[in-house]
Amino acid sequence: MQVLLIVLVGVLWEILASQFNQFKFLLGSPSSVGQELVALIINENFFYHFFLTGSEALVGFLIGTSLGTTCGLLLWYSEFTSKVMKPFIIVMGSIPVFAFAPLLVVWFGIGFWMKVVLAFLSTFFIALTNAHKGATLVSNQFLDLLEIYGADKRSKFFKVVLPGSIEWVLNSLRLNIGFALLGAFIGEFISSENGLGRLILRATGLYNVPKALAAAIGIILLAFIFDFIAGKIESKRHSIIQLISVPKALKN
Amino acid sequence: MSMKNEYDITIAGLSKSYKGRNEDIVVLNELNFQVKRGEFFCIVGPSGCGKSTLLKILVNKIKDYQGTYHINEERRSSGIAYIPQESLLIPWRTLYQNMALGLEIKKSITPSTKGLISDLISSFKLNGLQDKLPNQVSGGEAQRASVIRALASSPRILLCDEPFSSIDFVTRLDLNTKFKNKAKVQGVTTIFVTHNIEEAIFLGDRVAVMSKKPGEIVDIIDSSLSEGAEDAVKCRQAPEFNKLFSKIWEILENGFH
Repeated sequence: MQVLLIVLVGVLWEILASQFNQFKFLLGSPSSVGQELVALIINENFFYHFFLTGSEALVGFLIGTSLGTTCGLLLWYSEFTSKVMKPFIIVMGSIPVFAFAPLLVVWFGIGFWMKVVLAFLSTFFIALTNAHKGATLVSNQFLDLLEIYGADKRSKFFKVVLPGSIEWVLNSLRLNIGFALLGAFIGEFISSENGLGRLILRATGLYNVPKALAAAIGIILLAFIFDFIAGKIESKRHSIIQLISVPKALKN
Repeated sequence: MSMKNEYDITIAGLSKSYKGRNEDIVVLNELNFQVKRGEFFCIVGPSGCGKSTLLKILVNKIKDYQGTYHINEERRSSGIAYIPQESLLIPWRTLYQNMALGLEIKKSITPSTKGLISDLISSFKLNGLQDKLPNQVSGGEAQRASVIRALASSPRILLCDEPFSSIDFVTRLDLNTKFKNKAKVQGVTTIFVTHNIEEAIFLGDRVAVMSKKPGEIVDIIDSSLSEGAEDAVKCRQAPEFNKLFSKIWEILENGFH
């Protein structure tokens, strides 16, 4: 059904492009986008740009999400720290990260790490707030029950808080894929020599819409791949919980 | 043995009130009773008489109250367990992993304690359900798993807050029988809160009857049965069963007037 829809839109797009020149100028046509994609692969080392943007986003995503999640979960440990930090987190989380982009150029140059930092900043606060929310939403009834059995804070954390917030953590994983790609992409947009963002910027500068769209296919492909991996991780939710919170002696 | 050691739980002048808009609302008023070692002590009373509040004080969830309570330290430190009204099974753990939770926290999962869980699983007829998640079993089965969780940790003090209130009558009788016998074998000192008179008579060595608002203990009745004390169905044939029922009913009924 989805394939049929794509084909239909493609055909309609192609027909409209062949009939109206203005339309073709603004949106290109599926066939011209295809041609440009092939040209990009053959002449302009498309896969190099593809992997570059992918690795900028991935490294930023991994550092941002893991560090953000860890900080968010650890905030559960200390209500005091959580209260003190809350306004700062809210402020930092609501500042559009891209406002920092020009400063990042000053601090990190225009290379790989500037984009990584931008992807990191785009994902860190989302991971942090999600993990913290997940941890604080774990039912107090379970925590009380564990306390009656004599559980200490560490035990409560590993047996209830961590597995109980996994849903939120996995959610932020999915959400952050888009933000990490956006971070890397904007970084390339602002200042770079390589990457899919750079390709798009250059193509639109020359009003070559089909070429820009061909490069955008790379971004879409990256999003698909990351989302697929996140989906796989999500489907292993139960095994992850078992791994982190249940002792070996109680597993089959 | 000194008198102090004979009692595991001593409650003296225990009161609890909440701040209302105009005046304080008294939930528990001057409770005084003692529970002997290994005794099954039932508290029966209408909803809202403060039964659950009392248990919350005993498990340290409510800290601002008047009066005192004392739980034998040696018994408390060797194990306290609680069976809540709802099963409160952790949803991402299998039934078996939920049952072993108390042992896991105490770091005492050994072949012998695992054997105890297996025994409890067979007596409470949960065979074959160990690897199911709580949302894959019925409410009654989940509640049985919750009872096993408490008994598997071999507690010395057991506090139960209407654990069988949401279970159908037939299953409830069966659970009552098994629960009482296991608790007796383990020699655990139990406070069991219920609003079901028959359940209280069968389970309890003594039954404390509470009145509603303010929650007061009106009477403590010796409910030992001469017949069928080990079976929730047969106990009804004991000559004193109906007398005890009428007596408790009368007290509760008077409380409403």
